[in-house]
Amino acid sequence: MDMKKQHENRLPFTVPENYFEDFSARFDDIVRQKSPKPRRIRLWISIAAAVVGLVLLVQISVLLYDHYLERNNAEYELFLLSQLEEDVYYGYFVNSYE
Amino acid sequence: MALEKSYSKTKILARVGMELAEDELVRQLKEPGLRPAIFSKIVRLYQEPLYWHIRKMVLVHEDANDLLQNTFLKAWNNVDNFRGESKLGTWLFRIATNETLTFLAQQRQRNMLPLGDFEEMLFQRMEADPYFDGDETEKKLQQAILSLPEKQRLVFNMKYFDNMKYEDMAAVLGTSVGALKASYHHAVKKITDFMKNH
Repeated sequence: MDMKKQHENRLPFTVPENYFEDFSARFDDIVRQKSPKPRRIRLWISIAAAVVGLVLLVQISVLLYDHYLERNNAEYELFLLSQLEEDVYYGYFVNSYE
Repeated sequence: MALEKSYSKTKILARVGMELAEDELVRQLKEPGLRPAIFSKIVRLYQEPLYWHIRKMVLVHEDANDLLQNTFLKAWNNVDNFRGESKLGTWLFRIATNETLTFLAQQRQRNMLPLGDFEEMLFQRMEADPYFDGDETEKKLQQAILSLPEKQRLVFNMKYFDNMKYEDMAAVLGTSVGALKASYHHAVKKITDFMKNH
């Protein structure tokens, strides 16, 4: 059977009148509402994000460094105290609380 | 009701073989300031071939309309991801195909119908659609096409109604030309048998 001759490849479907004209016009509206942000705005958003990131990084580094120094000082004090004779050790505490 | 018979316009795809013009469209699409206007051109250029590609699978106008809108929305939201490695038309047809197959799978799952009953439901919805104007033979042909597995239905529709090149079909469906030729050949045989026996 020659199907092409028999059915002439016709699609038995139709669309509403002016469907394609209306569809493209409707889609233009959708695109207008969903337009991506212009490149300049996106550039400023990227710069602002980078600055915020940098500030956070610096703050975290400062906090970590302070914590490191505090820990080092405490450890050094303990080390110094461990090196003292018992009399001097107690003397140190008595003096610190007088 | 005034109706517009547009199926002959499916041949637009052949007209869109203007690769130079397409390259220019793709280049301009990358310019955010020009993007809405260029996308509007693309919608006007591809809406008909994409609509008929979808409609042949879902059969009902309302579903085809929703899927066409989803296809262009997905394309619009992913314009930045389109690298131009494939043709613009191939990319759009791929999105439309995926949207359509996903829709059919969801419908099948939602209705939880036994094998064959889902196709029967599609056929009944097509018959009830006011935008179906086929005669008895055309109804029978659509019923025969519905008896094919979905992927084979795609292949048959693209070749039989649009006479699309196997190479273009391969780019859209991600299958080899040889496999597509074999699939089409088997589809024609199955449909011929169906038409003889029903």
